[in-house]
Amino acid sequence: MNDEVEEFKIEILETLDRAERALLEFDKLPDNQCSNTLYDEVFRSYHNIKGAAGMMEWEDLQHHVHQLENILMQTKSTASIPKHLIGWFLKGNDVTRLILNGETHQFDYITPGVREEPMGETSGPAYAEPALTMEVAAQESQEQLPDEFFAEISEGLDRVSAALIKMESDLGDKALRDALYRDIHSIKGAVQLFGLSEASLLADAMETSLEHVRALQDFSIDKAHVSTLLLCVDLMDTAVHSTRDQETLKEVNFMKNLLQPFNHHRQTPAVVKKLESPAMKNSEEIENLIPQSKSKVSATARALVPSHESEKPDSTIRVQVSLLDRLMTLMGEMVLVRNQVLQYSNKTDDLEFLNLSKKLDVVTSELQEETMKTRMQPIGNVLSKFQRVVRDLSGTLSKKITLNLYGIETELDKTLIEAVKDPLTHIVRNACDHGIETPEIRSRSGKPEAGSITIKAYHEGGQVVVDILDDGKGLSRSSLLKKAIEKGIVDEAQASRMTDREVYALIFAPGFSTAEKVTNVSGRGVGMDVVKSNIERIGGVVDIASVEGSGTTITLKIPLTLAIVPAMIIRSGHDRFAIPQVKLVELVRVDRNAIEYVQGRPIIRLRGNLLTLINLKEVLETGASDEFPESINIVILNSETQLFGMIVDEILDTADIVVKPLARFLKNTSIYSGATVLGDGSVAFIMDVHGIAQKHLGPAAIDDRKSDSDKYGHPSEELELREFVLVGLGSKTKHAIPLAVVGRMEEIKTNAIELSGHQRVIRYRGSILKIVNLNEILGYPNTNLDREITQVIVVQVEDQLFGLEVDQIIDVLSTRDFLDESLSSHEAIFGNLVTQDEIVVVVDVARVVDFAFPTKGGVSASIEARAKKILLIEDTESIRNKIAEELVENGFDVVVAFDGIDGLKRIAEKKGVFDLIISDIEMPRMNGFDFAKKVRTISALKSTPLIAFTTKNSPADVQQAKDSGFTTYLEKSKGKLLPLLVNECLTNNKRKTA
Amino acid sequence: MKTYLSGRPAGDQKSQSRQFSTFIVDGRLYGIDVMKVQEVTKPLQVTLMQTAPPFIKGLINLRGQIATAIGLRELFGLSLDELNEKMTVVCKIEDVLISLLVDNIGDVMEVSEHNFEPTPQTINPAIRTFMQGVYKTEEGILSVISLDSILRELDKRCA
Repeated sequence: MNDEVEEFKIEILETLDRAERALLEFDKLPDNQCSNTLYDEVFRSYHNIKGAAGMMEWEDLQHHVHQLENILMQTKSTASIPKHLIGWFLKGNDVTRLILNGETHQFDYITPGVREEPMGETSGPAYAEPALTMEVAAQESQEQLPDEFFAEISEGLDRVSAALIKMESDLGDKALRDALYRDIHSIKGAVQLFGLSEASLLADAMETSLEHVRALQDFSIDKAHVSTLLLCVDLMDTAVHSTRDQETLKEVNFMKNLLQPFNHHRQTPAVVKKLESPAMKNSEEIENLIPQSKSKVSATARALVPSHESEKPDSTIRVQVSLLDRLMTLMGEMVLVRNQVLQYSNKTDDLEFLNLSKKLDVVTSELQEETMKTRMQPIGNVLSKFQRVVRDLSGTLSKKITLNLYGIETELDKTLIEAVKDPLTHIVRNACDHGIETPEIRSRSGKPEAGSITIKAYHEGGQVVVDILDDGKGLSRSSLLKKAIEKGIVDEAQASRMTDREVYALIFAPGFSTAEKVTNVSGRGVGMDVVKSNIERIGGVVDIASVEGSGTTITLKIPLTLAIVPAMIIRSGHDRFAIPQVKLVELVRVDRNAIEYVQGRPIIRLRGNLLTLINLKEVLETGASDEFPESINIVILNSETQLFGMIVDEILDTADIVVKPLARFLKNTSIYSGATVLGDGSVAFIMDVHGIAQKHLGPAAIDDRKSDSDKYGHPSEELELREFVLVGLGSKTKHAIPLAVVGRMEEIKTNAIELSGHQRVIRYRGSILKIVNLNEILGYPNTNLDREITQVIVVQVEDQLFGLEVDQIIDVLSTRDFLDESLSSHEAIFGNLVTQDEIVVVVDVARVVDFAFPTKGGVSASIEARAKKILLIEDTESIRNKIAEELVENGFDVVVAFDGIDGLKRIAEKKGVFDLIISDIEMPRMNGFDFAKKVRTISALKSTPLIAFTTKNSPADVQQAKDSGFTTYLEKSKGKLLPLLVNECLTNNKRKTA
Repeated sequence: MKTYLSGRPAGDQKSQSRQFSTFIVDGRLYGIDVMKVQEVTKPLQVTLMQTAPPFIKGLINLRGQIATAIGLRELFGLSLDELNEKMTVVCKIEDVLISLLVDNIGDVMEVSEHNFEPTPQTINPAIRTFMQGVYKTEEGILSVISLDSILRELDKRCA
């Protein structure tokens, strides 16, 4: 239950963030500018929160958000939010967070200055009224019952059905009985509140009939009673949706009479027995009276049977971070054990063992990779919070600042995201306070009034780089130096010798602040030094570049993950050391005579550049001598801005190492950054490349390799690089298989191929892998038959693995060359790739599989056998999961998408092979109407049934849905009918196409 | 049962007693609060830490965890006698795992609070820094080592 609440909270917070982003976007627009997308986003977010709060019976939250929604409604006609209201809504969001945290809150629902707003409507004063009560709110929305009401009722009814069914089979305990009673009671309350007299009559009858059941200590509810109540549940569903319906009233009355006899069960068991049969009879009668009821009840029953094993469609689950952390630690240990096993396997000739250890190696590597992925999160989770920070700050500082974010989808380890949050906040606040000037100063110096801060995140060389650029006043060398001299950080003589970069680095010195005066935003001299130490603690680097008058760029380089690092193991004397691969540029071996000396320091010439050398023995103070062996091993390392070579005794091996921190009193040594356990169980130090460079080469020299501008201004988008596996087939031309679909390349013994029916298969990693001969499919002669070893490329198509049998695996091709699709000799061929020296035929793997396993359009009964594939598009996670689950239980194969755009993506992925599509209407990015229109333009989906599943139920909406191309329409509240409707649509469609 | 030492004998409460894991370094009996001792082992393979002060003996692999080996003789400024360092006491303090090299391991001793004495002024200041006080026992004087002071001192000396 608690998990449920937690999950609920997280979902609410995410929704709230969405609303907040949209509000902030609004803020950027000119006052009263209308934007339907943004307005809808905010509105939908509030609406969803309200609905969810209703479902969780969280009244004050529901009430609060309802008020927000109400105020927002006032500007619906213009689809805009006046500037002065944006702040109010933001505060409202804060209060929502307070409520979520269970904190007390006070919020004035009178919106500021709303009366002055020329809304041109008589309803003007109404929204300026102070906090409306729930009752009033309810009255207002009576015309159109709110979603959460239906959600609540159907939730309640679901619970009632579940409880009834449970009680029927195993009596159920008192708690269950009480819960059942309570649920019916709440339903009664809710329907009464909304003035649904028939429903309330029915609920009352149900309640009364259960009165004795609740009071009784030992009882057995008889089947007839349960059946009748279940019928009531169904009727209730109808009653709630169709008000003022004579038919309904008649049924309700009938049902009420039917329940009558159960009201007196408490008398004696004998009476129960006696009454049982007429009741049974009656219930059958009533079932006849309401057609479909029976099937509905049983459908409900099926849906409610807890099915733990039922396969879930691809979706997400939330997991405790602590669990992932633990998983990660264990993974680290496992990598160590794997390393030890591999090391041991070198000493033995036991083939079986070698084989097993190789397998262990492969599986562990894969496991490690996947485990890492579980912890990756887009950096946007942190970055987007800064929109608010910047907005608030620009208000406080009376400046105009816009924040631009790029690369928010860049992923890095969750713990690292947490770790960079504070440093980034410091930097952004600093940029707002010190960097960006006031509008007056800016316009005087010819800059646009609004300053801009840009945050760019991207991957580079196994690291995540975050650039924070502002177009403010930049850093001033002279004032930085003046301050530094004042504070005694450097003396005048030093100051004159310092490079710009060194001068800029001064702002990271503790106690250094250039702000003219201390503001409450920043300027106390704490901050930038914290930034530096925090980033360095996680193995990152902070760098700063600036041009006085035009802005400052701060660059953070952060490792992708902390836990496991690929490293090179080297030896010096008897000791082994690990050097992180990211620091390693290349390995060279040179002759002793190649070493020259410049000012007593050894150097080598490497491809025309001079490279400074450091002898590791010197670093370790283990008796370095200039007597080098004949050939010298040098590892070339990259420390920030400079390259240098380190002379080592031997280069041993690469290994994935688990970084263990050093005891805190050892951290001051600048030459080690940590330790690790090697494969043989001994401990090795990890070299701190940066520290060694600093200590032995002095602070970074002026970086003459590249200027700042091309360092920071490098193009982030490159031409699309595609990769293929080149294979040889029974054709003269080489064929290429897109690497994206390739899982692995395997060599298998030909005699390991078995037959399953006519299908050739191999056993592959615990399951059966179907083998497809590519020659056969493409109509080339098969030369592969009498080989001992068969080359197989394992590809993934629609979540299934297939083995493509080829004659030869030649190479991997990375190319930006043009793919010419005009000449395609076979349907399973994409086109030709014209490279420099040859033409390569690109294979369409999905079509190959289609050819090999024709599932559509066949003559056999396999149509029936194949699970119908349904695409379900719905933006609310809980609803999406619930419906998907139900559909899967009904034997459908479900693919889910979270909005129209995502839906189109899924369609593209699956090559449009869907038998039916269900889509919500209200969705972010692309709504259901637009989605439907798009779908109808796809030839494969021209006649596919398309169900609109939505809460929008006005006749106009229904018409629009029809116009957009939807086949039919179902209200969300009738969700239980969905499987039936789906079946109906599929049958109709089959008949039509037949 | 854990009692805290205030540096003074705990008055008349004779029932109060503490348990110490004891060991011998250079012929003297020392004790560490038994709750802070993780385990006692034979010396494991040590990876030397070059450039570190002499009392940092290096790192050891304690079943996948890395501990820093500390030479108590070096730390206490006693004469060096590596051949005699036959055991290690592994303690965890403030998440730092340290392994103290000692000559020999004694029993776990239970001592009564009323036998407590503050550290005599006559003791070598190099060792007194690390001491909480002494207990008079039948086996002689038990010097109580404070791990906190060891950690503080390590922080200081390595800074």
